[in-house]
Amino acid sequence: MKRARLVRPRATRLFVTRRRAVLLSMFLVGAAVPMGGLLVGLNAGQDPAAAIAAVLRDPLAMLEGRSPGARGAGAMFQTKPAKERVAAKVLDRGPSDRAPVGPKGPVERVLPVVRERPPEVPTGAPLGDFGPEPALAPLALPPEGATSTSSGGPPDFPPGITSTGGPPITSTSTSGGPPVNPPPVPEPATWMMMILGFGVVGSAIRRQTTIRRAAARG
Amino acid sequence: MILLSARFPTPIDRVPVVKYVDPPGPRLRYPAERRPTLTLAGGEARKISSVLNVSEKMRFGDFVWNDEGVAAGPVWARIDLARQVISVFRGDDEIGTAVILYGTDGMPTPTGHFAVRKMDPAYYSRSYDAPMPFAMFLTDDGVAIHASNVRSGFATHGCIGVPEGFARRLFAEIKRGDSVWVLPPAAAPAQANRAT
Repeated sequence: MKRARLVRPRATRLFVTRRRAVLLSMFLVGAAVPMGGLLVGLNAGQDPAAAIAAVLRDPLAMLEGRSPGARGAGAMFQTKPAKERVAAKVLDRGPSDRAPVGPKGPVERVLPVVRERPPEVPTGAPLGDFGPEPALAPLALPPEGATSTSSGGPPDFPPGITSTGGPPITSTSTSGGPPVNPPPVPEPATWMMMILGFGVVGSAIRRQTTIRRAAARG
Repeated sequence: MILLSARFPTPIDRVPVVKYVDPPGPRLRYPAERRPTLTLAGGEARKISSVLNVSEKMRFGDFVWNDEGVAAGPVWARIDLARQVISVFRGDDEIGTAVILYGTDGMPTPTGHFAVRKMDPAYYSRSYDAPMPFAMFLTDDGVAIHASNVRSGFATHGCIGVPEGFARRLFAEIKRGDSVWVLPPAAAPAQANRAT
């Protein structure tokens, strides 16, 4: 260390005279230890002093020591990733797309015309005025004993009900019963439909990213 | 030795952080009678007096700039694509070096001897929709040295990308007409240049 301290202030003039060339050799030995990081990476297995001499003799050796090396193959040869580049592109669609200039925060908005919803039931008309109640037609019931034995009528009707009085009564569960609430857990078919939809969306996004990356690369 | 990183850009007017000082000093000087010859592109070569003493491998985004005690003179640059390193000289002394990015195999960086044609401190490329600050154009078709996000595994469309702090210093140093040599990536001169 003492040697290095003696040499360092004169480092710029070391090579001027022949007498100081002796100091150069001393400096080379003294500087070999701290410069080991460069020299190990530069010339493994070589004498550090000789490596320093090589640097001093050949500036390319210094460039080799500071270089990160040649560029490897298969790297992502882009200055920016595709997603960043696309996200950085801001589309301006005109004045309507820009942010409004003015005071921030909620702005009170007054409608130009005040509209009132008309009442559903006219207030003046009396309630329940639907006119006279229509008279119900009496049911045409066939006489007893003339039902299933006849050949013309449908044989499956229960006794006492015919098919001519109106629409046939088919089922009581769909038309008559209380509304059926959907179950809280979706059906398996719904699950499958949702999973399939997510899959389609995901594959579309993946495909779009691949195409965009290929376009940016080529 | 001044080792700066692009992740912590330092204004040019402030004194940069001295990260480490090598025992021989920030600069390795050659004796006047044994100045080596640095190979340039196109068979050209120049004798140099000193190089910056960078004692470790630079990482992507790192650069070194030190022009203390270097007299005024013509500024020139040697860009070594094979080593991914740029060296800026003033006169015969190296004043700056950095790790660079260069063009892809599909859009390679042209090599040879160039002169700085046009300079724009805040260039914005319409072709690539990207800012290219401190652009120093080498060709008429848009190849330039400019500030870039120098990261490992990335490349340019033919330009030379350097860290922003380095680009700012180089932009302040270089002028129109100054020489820039770009050495090819594959056939870089590997033979040693013996001192003469």
